[in-house]
Amino acid sequence: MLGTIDRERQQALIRQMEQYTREQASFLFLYNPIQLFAVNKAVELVPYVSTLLKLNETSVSEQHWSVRKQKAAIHEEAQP
Amino acid sequence: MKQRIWWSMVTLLLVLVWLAPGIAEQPPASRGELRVVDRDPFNWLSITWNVMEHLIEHSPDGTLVPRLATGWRWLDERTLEVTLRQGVRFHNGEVFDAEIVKLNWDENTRFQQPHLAGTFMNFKPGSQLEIVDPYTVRFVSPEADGGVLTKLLFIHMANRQFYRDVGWGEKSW
Repeated sequence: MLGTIDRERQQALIRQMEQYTREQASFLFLYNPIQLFAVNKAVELVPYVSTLLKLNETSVSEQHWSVRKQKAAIHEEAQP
Repeated sequence: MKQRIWWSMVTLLLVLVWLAPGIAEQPPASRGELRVVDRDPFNWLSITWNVMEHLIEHSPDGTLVPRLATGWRWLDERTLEVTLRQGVRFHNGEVFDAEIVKLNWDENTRFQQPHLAGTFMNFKPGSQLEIVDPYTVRFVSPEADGGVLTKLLFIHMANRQFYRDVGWGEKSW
């Protein structure tokens, strides 16, 4: 499959491999638990299908403690 | 009266027990540096993917998207040409360009990374990076390699300071 850069050829080979695996019963597929993440309610988590913990798209809302703390510090500095 | 004294003693003991953790919370004197070594490739990847940028990354739905690259095209079965994003600087002011990509290529491919999927995810021996101009590079494989785009997800882009001060494969512990 890695011997070609042609996406369609790669897809066809993947289908062929899946078919072979099913026919030959090469693997016994077991229950795969759903990936769970527990996050603070002020965190807007955007999970990835890879289930790896990537935080590129994740953000925090105005209610998150870090934002509130930063705002409080700015407010305190602005006080005469 | 005896009962009152008894209860006073019990109360005093309870207060002392309650205060004890507070007394014990005096900051201990430093006795050196503790380094935590985690050899788990999954954790390694979770950290490097979140603290470093890459030419190409996955979107949440699994699609390959350009990040420090702006695009790519296959010139032939062995050659992938990648255009780099311009105007990018590291936090210390270092400019991101083809030279820094070459440095990261050399440092990342210097050893076999313990990829989750398997070490076949490392670039094939003999693979090379050629600088075309300051914002264009070419990845040349010794033979057709349909995994090159995915393999670029694992070339972590650090600045020169990183390689001067730390680098990969820290073994001083």
